[in-house]
Amino acid sequence: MAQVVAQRFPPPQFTETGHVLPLPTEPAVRALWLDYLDAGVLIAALALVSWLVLRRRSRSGVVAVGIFSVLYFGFWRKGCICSIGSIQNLSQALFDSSFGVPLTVLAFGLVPLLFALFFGRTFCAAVCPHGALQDLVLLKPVKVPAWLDHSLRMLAWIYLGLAVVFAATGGGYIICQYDPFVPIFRLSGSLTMVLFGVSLLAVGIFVGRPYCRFLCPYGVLLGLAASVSKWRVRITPDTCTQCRLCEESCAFGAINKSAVDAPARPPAADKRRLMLLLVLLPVLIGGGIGLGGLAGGALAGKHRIVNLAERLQLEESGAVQDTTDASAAFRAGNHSIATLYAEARALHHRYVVAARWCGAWIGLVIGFKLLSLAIVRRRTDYEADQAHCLSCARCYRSCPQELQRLGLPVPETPKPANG
Amino acid sequence: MKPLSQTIWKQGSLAVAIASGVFLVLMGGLLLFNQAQGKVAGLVQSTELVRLHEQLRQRPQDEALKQRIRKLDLQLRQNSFTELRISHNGTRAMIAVTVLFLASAHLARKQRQKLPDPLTWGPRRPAEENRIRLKTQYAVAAMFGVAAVAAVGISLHAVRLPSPPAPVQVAAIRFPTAAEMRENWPAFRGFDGSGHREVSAIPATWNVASGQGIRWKTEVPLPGMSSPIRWTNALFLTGANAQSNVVYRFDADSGKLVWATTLRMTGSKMPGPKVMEDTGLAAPTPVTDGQRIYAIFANAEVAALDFSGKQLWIRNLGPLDNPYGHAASLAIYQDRLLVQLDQGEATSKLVALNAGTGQELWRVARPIVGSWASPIVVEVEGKPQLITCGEPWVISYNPLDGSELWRANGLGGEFAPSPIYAGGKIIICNPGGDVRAIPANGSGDLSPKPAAWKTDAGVPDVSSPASDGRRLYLLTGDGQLSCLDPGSGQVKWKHEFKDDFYSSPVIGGSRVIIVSRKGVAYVMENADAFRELGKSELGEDCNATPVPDRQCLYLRGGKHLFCLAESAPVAVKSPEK
Repeated sequence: MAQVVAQRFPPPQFTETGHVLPLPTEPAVRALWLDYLDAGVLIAALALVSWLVLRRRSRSGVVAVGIFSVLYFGFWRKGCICSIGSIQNLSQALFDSSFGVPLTVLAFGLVPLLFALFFGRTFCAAVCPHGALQDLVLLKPVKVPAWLDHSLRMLAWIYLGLAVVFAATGGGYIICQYDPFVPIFRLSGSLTMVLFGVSLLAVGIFVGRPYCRFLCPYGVLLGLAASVSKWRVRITPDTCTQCRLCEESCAFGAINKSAVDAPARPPAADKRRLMLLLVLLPVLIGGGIGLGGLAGGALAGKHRIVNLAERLQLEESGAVQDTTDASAAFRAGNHSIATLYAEARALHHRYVVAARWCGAWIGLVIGFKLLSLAIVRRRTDYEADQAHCLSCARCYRSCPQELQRLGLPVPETPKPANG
Repeated sequence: MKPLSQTIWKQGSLAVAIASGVFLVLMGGLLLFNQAQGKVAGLVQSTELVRLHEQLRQRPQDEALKQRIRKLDLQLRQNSFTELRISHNGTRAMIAVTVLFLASAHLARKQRQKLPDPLTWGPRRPAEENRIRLKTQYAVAAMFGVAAVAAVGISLHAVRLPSPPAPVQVAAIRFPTAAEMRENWPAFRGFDGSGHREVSAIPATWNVASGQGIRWKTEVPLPGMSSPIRWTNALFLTGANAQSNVVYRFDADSGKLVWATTLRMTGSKMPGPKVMEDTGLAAPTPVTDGQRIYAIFANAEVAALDFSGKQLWIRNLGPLDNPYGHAASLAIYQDRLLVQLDQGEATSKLVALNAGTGQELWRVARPIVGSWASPIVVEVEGKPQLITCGEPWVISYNPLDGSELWRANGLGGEFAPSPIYAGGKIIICNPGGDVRAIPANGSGDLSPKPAAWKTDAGVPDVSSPASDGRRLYLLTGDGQLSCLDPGSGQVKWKHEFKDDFYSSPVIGGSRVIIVSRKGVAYVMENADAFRELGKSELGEDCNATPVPDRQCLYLRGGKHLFCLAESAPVAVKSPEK
């Protein structure tokens, strides 16, 4: 039911034209059952995609659900509610006991993780509108060099750390603020963000899902869950013949090549590197803590209270000659500047502590990544990388076993390289 | 040979993909151009419109200019809406064409898709794969470097906040004793705001023309409605104009201007206060604790100065939006400077500043509309109370922490008279219709309880009452002076003066003095029956409240500060430059 909003200022009187000002109204609150419907659609879509990917091995089914997700969760629900953003609600609730999380947000935050724990990243495959949209625009995938791919993937871990810092300290939801696709789903937004989203999509024509791979903080959590998933994407429905046909089929660089020749015991040089990296790990964590402490003081400035306190301090000390809207409003209101300063100092401290944790996190993540790169695992088959595989089902049809299963013509394949 | 339909699909999908792709690029460019144009021609950003509005402010009656503004305004709005329409329609068209582009491009790609041929790739080269793995490690390690550089870069913009206030060493500060405060006249209407002092030498008459009864007379450089305060031989006063807020120290014995300090508030530019002429820019009376003088002005600048005139600290508590201008005087309790800032129900507040540093100690919101009454600090049953009045509440606070002790409602009107404490009761002159006495030892909301007494006789509208504990004097703006029993509220006597009054009555021992706005002073006997002892003219207007002292009476006129004494010689001084 629309409600009349009180006028803050007397409206102009259009005495000459007799124009009658329409009464401003505020939109009705969305019915609760619609929120539950969203959660229901999410669960149904996750179940359907998991079945399509793991049982039916159907790429076309995944594409169809992807189109539905873009339309429903994207353009219809305007990109909100969103699992990616829900990380922030959950983080804030973890650190602020007075902050409540609605059941729907909880569902959007946790259910995809639960599915990832059992079925891999089927959420990314076609349920996430961001991923599905990028998947639809991918026309001519180019291979991103491994060194670039792995290093850019670190950005998502850093972004996750920062998002938690800002949400936990009440500084804002940066994932939502800088979401590149919500302005597209809403057909409105700042020009900068629209251009950012369009640019990502343009890049996404050639580079598979750049946001999902290199920026998505939720993808990091899904990857962690998927890496221990019970059921997973298997490229071949039978046994891998080492034909290498699938080697270039993944647009996201998420296929691990077989490594049957990997030595059971690493060579001395690799051992030395491993030891060095183990020693380096605490150094990276320590460095991260130090750097986080350095940056925390500046990150605090993003918080409106700290920002206002800094501004008032500048005004009080005479470093600036005017007032801002915020500082003038503060002065006109019934607020204590001493209380504001105290609050800002407490927030500043929280930011520094949170940024140190974030720095430690980044150091730890990069350290572990270096360690994981230093270890060569023996692998007999070409396998989907459990953490990075987006369950898009593209690779299935590159496997001659799959083509055979479907009764399709099988191309000539090389003999297994390893005998 | 490929069937014709396959060729048509292959070529057709490619053609559609290319055509739609070109359309998307062109339409995207057009929308960007439109956006850029919108920024230039937008209503808010139009420099021409701003310029014309500026001109209109200077020539508000210029009808041709108004027509020009309306025309430009309409044109800009039409432009904005046209651009908005183009943007909306263009976006929708782009989405539709994007769907077409993606469908045709995917189809074209599928038509041309070739199966990979690993036979052409050659065998895998483990050494090369190891080299790539090493390169990847370096690249990942470099990301830490990038993050480190970013962190250092960000840290250059670290927030700078004021350091936390050092804990105030309350024990180290020596507060003046009650006897010292009583011995002096440290605040508006004296130590406890009662307007009374036991002195014996207030002159009954004087003559400005002949100099009879005028010990000295010194010109005050800047105007102000504030009253003088005294501490030992120092008289302090404030004055202000649009440019300067000034605190003056005069020698109480000779009238010599010892120093004049113009407050220096660097930086913060507060909007200039809107004040009525009757209030002016220096209406609040300063206060002193014997070590420092504290002053507040209409633009909300509060400052502390030492007795040599050195500005110790200054801060601005504004902007203020009091309809007549700020008039409430400062109060002090121990190390707390108490500032009542009543402006409107949403913005009224009471602030306590550390007298030594100016840092805020506490602040409470007040459910009061604008008021001009000054707060008083009194001691009730050994505990301090800060009494404040304004429509609709009289509220008592603990001056140490701002906690509320009691409140009572029912006050109304434009509240200028300050409360006083007499006979164990708080006397409130309620411009809404009565004078009432409220027991000061209550707690919580006292509204339902009846007042100790009430009377509607001679309710002051601007002047504050005065009492020596035995008699209560009330003065109305149109000249009715009433003497009441502060214990019962019973009227002892009334007298009508054919004059207008803003200044409050004061009691100096056995005499009561009132001064009219025209500068006519009336001296009466402080007794249970009316008896006028003298009437004298100051020769200039007067709105300030006199200060009774041991040997004389200090009085601020419109232009001069006077020291009036029995049979005093004439000494007229000009301010030293």
